[in-house]
Amino acid sequence: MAIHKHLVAGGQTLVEQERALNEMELTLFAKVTGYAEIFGTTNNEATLEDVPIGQQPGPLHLVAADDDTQAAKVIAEQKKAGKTLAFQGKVFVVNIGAIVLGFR
Amino acid sequence: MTISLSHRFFTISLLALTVALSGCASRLEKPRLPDVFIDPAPGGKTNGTYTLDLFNADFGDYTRAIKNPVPTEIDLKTATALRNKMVYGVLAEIDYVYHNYEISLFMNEGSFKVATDVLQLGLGMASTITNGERSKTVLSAVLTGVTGTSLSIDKNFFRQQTVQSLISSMQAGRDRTKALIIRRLNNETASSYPFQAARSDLATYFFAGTLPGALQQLNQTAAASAKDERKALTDVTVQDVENAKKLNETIAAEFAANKLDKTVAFLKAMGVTVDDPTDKAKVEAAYRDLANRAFDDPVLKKKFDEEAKKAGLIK
Repeated sequence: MAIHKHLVAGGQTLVEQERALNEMELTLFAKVTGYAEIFGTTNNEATLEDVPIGQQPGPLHLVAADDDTQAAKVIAEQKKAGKTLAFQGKVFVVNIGAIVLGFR
Repeated sequence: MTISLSHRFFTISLLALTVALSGCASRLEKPRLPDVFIDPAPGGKTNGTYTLDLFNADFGDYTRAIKNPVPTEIDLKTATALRNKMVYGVLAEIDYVYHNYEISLFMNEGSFKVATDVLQLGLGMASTITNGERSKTVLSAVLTGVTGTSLSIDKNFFRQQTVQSLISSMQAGRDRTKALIIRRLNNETASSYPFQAARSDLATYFFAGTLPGALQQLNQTAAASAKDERKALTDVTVQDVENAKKLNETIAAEFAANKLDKTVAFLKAMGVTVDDPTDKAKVEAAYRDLANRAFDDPVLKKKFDEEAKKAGLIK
């Protein structure tokens, strides 16, 4: 399946970015597989992989972590709740670098 | 060649004016520093300056606290507190020298420009009112030299950037590094973020506030914008996500029923022609191409949303 990359403004809150990624996934018939900051800008870049029409995965939920230790804790908690990690990346949230994890 | 008295008087006046104007600038640069900021403090007293002696004392305590390969919890807390104290102390010193540098950069450039402008103006006037071709030629040559020197400094030191843009660039680079340092100080112990790692980040912080650092940051930003004309997605509302969900469901239903009327009508309204509107693969490819372009172009995205509603893809 084809891969596409689109920008999301890193000045936005985590909730606003979550809405942007969900709108992208639904409109593009795709799923986000990567999310990372773009060096030299305050934008983040989402990597999306096409999914077959009619097989849209569930909505995406973003969680921020301060460091790798906390990220591991968040992954364990979400796993217990039945959620799967879709991606993990260093991105801008309200223009400040943070680790963000995407679950569905 | 003899130089007349009036020419000497004119030249001396010009130089005096240049020096006087340059001197004026120094009074504009900053208000009087509060005593607690004057370094060294007046009357042999101490102020908040983080001196090398204070740093050495803290660094000695820090090294003792973290000397064991597996430090105790108390040692780690002590080392973390000392690390934070040292880093914030050094940050404050870097900020102090940076702000002085920023002022001198701004004022020196201003003074230099005033001086060269006055000199160029004077030389231009002098070459106009001077009698004699030789004198005119000499003055014109000097004028060319002064103009050339000014342009050369602009080109070679400032890379033809204004001081304001360089200062903004330095500040952006410093803010970025400072946010990273503070986040790590708040979230990590001296074990995962030791003082040596912080020292490396402090060096990055210091060099972000220099002329080469500013030019490098400007180049990186310009390069990133030049190769990337995509616009970042912003301001997506809950309703937008709801609409996207409806659009996704409607198109999926049309593909499942092999009845692509609304999708094809939508593509047509968006100016996209599909060779064979009954060919699912072709319609899908045309839709995906359009949708991906729309997410990089807010104007196209607005039209995309409006036409999707009109075509009944969003009910």
